[in-house]
Amino acid sequence: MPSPFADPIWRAEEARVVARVRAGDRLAGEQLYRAYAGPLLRLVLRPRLGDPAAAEDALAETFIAAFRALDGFEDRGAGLWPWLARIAVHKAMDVHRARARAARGCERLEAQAPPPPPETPAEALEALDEAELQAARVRAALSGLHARYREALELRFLQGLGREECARRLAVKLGTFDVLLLRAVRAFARAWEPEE
Amino acid sequence: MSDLRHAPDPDAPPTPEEEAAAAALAGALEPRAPQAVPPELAGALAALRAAAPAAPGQAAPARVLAAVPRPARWRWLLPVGGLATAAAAAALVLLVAPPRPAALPAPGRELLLAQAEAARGSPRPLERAMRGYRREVYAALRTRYGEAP
Repeated sequence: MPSPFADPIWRAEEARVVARVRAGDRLAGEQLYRAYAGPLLRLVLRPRLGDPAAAEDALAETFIAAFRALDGFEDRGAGLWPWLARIAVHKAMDVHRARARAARGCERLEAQAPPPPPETPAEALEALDEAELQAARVRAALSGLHARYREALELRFLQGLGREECARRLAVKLGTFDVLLLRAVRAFARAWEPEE
Repeated sequence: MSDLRHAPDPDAPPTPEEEAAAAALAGALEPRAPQAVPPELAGALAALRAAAPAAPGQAAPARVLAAVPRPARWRWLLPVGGLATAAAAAALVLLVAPPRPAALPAPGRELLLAQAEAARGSPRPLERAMRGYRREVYAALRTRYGEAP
């Protein structure tokens, strides 16, 4: 689905969709989800949670909270995005707090805190474009690696599979896969040079 | 950018350092209770995670859609009220509108011929035909409007 930030028709339509959700229209709720799920995952939840399953769960919790509080939403000119992004940030923090080692997890998260989500649709569009560029650079770096390293990294990070599933697909033991992944990440880190 | 010259053989036996580091990395990637991310790999790991396609399921999960607010109970009265209003307006129109006229029988051939005879000076056939026609007209009026008070 095209980004809601780049689609002028969506921007004009959003207020009507929100009104329909308030009136109980589930199809309108589906529309909002499809419009904002991708940007919320890419710009807010994955940078804070990493694990794809945790990020998708937090995404669902974000929309549940948003739909329940929608009557209190007031558009201040930037549409639904800033409000949704703030909810998503809180849900990401909730995930960390709920984990067994919540205190240590929160400290590390705060120490490595990703930048705050973009406030306006224009900023979000720019951030999504930048994220796409970064993803293309990552894929380029992966293409220069040994095929087995590239496969291990794609399965574990780009497809989001667990280590057991990755080991099964590569037909290796779990411990062997862990070593393979370590070598692959180190190789990638040598090849990866983030832009300043 | 190619790392093929420097990459260790993927199938080479791991060193003790690699075994320890591999276990640490697996712990760092554990979703439920992550350990500290190795600092020298933090940037690379963040880049890899961020590169994953942001493509959630095509449809919103059922529990998300279940959170869409239900319409307030009283709202169902709106269409019902609208129907009632429309029905009342229709009834009012029917009450104040003039009634449709009764459908009177058309004069038969015998009556028309009798009229022609009367025009030529012979009124008797017309009188007979009119008696029958009047009966038909009165019957139609009674059907439409009921008996005369």
